[in-house]
Amino acid sequence: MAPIIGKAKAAVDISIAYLTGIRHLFHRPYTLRFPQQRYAVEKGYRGRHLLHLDRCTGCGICAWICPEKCITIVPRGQRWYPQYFYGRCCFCHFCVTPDTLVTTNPSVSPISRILPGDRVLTHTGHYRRVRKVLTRNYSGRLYNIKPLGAPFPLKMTQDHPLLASPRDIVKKGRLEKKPRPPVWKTPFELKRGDYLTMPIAKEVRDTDVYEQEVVVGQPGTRKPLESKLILNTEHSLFRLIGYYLAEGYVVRRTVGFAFGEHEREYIADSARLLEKYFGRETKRFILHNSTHVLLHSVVALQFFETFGRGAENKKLPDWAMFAPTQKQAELIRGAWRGDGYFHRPTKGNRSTFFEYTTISKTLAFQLQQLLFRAGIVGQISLATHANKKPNYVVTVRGRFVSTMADLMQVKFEDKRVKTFSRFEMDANYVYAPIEEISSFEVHDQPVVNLSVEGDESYVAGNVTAHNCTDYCPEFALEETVEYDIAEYTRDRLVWSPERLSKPPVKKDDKYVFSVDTIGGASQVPQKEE
Amino acid sequence: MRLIVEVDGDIIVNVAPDPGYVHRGIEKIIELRNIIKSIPVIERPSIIDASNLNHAWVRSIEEIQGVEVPRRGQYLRTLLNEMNRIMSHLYWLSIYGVFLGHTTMFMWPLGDRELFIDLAEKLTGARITYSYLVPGGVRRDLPPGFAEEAVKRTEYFEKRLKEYDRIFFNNPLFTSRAKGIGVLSKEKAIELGCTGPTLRGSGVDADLRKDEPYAAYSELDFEVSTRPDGDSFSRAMVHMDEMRESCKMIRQIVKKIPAGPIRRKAPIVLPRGVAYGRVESARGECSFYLIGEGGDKPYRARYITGSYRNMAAIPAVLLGNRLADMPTAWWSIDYWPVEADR
Repeated sequence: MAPIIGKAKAAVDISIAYLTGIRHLFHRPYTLRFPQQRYAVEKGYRGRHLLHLDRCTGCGICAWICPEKCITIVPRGQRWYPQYFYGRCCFCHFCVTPDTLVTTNPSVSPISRILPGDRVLTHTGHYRRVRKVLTRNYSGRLYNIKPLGAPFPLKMTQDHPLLASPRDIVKKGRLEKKPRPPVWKTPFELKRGDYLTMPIAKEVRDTDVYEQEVVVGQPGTRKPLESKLILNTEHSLFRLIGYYLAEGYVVRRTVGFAFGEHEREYIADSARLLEKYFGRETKRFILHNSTHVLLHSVVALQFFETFGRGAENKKLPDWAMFAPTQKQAELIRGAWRGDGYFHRPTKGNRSTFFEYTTISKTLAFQLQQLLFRAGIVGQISLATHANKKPNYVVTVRGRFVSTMADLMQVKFEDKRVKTFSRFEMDANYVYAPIEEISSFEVHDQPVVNLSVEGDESYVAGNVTAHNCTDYCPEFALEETVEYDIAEYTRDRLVWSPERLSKPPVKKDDKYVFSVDTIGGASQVPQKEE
Repeated sequence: MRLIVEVDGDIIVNVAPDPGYVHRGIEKIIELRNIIKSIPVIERPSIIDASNLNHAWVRSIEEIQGVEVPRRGQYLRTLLNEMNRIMSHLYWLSIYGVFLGHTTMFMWPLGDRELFIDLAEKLTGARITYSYLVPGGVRRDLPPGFAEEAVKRTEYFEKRLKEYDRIFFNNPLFTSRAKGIGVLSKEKAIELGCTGPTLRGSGVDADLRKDEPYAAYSELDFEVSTRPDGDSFSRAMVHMDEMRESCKMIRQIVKKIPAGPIRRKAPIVLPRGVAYGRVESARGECSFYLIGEGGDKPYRARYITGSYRNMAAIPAVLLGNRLADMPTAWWSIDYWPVEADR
């Protein structure tokens, strides 16, 4: 009996197998009819390289990292460029990929205090790591450049390139208004009125939840107990941080916010937010005509300590600097309600402006960067008073006032006949004209320079500077999705820099290839370059 | 690779594997290169399983350098490894089909392999040779829309696996040629030092992903499939089970992947030290014994792959069988000559 069952089962199984196969007769075919039909590659495909001749400095890092040694550096006039031999290229694209970026947020610190490994803002609007700090003794001319909106003049050597946009004189002896694409210029080539650039940091990292390790005391045992603070990064949390930057302080186990007596709205708002995020009841304390909102919480204290202890040391950490613009607008609003004010035209002073005063240099520069991200140019000035610490004043003037008023949700009717701002702004840079430029001779003066990974540039005194080392500013090489094998025929394997710099041809959102008919790659008529 | 087979009638009485025809001296090449530049070379022995071999290399480097990989980087590594495992098994399956004269089974897996090749292309920018894993992390982040695409493709692929079962693995044309053929007993498999699906096909529950979890495997839910019989059929079914598990793992990874950086800065030099990095590649354990002497090149790198270790099983499964059973028994070991010769 058993063999019969086995045979029957085999017959069933084999008919299932046949049916499964036969069903596929009615399916669409898997294959493409190459070369009439082409396979569309994904975005980011590692195809042939695209060379940006303007960015390439011919440093040879690409030739060094190439595992197949297919890159040679060839001269073109005064400059050197990579040339590819595609007979050996394995398309690993180690030559293209720059080092992956890790976040950090820079505070504004003197260049002499920057250490290798710190992150600085570069001309592409990203924060990048300092590879090396170079110090040398310099003899020659030292330039003093003060752009509009910066508190200090910038001192630099004669050969130090800056990212600038020179302006020509147009009719009536005026300088042209619209900035031209920025180029690297040494101070020697600059004049008063030329635009210097300040990059706008573009990175946005939105996190829904903020986590921090905190230590709380364990009652009765005196042992510290580690726990985790988890906060939802809603818009209102940023407003609370704004309040803290302006009015907050931390003392022993208490976080306090000192408001004026009349600021009832802000007192209620900050108390409500503190209770919402830290789940403890707040207390009021009235001293003369100021009202303090107090929260006795070690957890809240440790959270607010990350924003600096003491007015001088107030700063913003990474995650707040990289937060989306909407949330940062709340932060600006909160901070401005505390330390800032809106000046409406009066009889004595007819100008209209927003101003924010702080004694923390870091915070002033960080607020300026936040304003840049919101599309507003704020200028920083330094106000010194006798027997007082110097104040840094962030001012928003001219045509940016109405944008700022929208951001601050302040009612503002623009009655000004004409508004004026000497700053210009586009998606990548803020352009500030040079107010003063002077030079003087020095002898054996120590100077500092930074070598920055990737972009080889940094923002010094709010001005974009290039470093003078010979490292390659990367992003000169890019991957393209061009993968047509017909391009790599036998006698066209060597790609000159000029050929590499031509972007792939696109037509109707599709790439045009040299072969469109039947015949295949081997029958392509071979042209000389 | 060639097999020198002596037959008595049509019974195989002696088998001598003769490897070395595709030996490229990769261990020597590695000694002469920077650790980063070695990555494309290390992938070449088995480009159908490139990222797993790459993983063993970066693991051994990171062990010497003491670099910890961010969790997102670990997950992305695991993702590509599992995709690569499926691709490699499909390639094996298509050749198994054509060895047995089943042309449909040759076409289908190669066609379905495109599903995962496209997915890998989305992730890494390359179709087969990724060079995706680097010391300290991975080179690219997940592209937008990857998770939905991965879920869609793995679910479709699981349906296809059922069709494979119907047309091939339940087909008497296959089962009658595979069941009871090329038996490798549990004791013999351990004695010969087999690894990977060959070892698990003989009923040994050994899988580095479970025994010594690396990357993100400790946080994933998957099973190690073993078959007790040790014949060609059970080895083939282990491959099929692993593809199913890999599909599950891919779906878990795209769901659970944490936010954060994908790469941590690792030095370009290899400090003085010794490390042994091993991973479970598609064909078994792949390991690097690496000695650094402080420069950017290693002093010595010993490179052992799954196929190399499974080569010892070839005579064991072939002896005593008929010559006509040779394709079934031999290819069920999944021996990849280039990987073995290195």
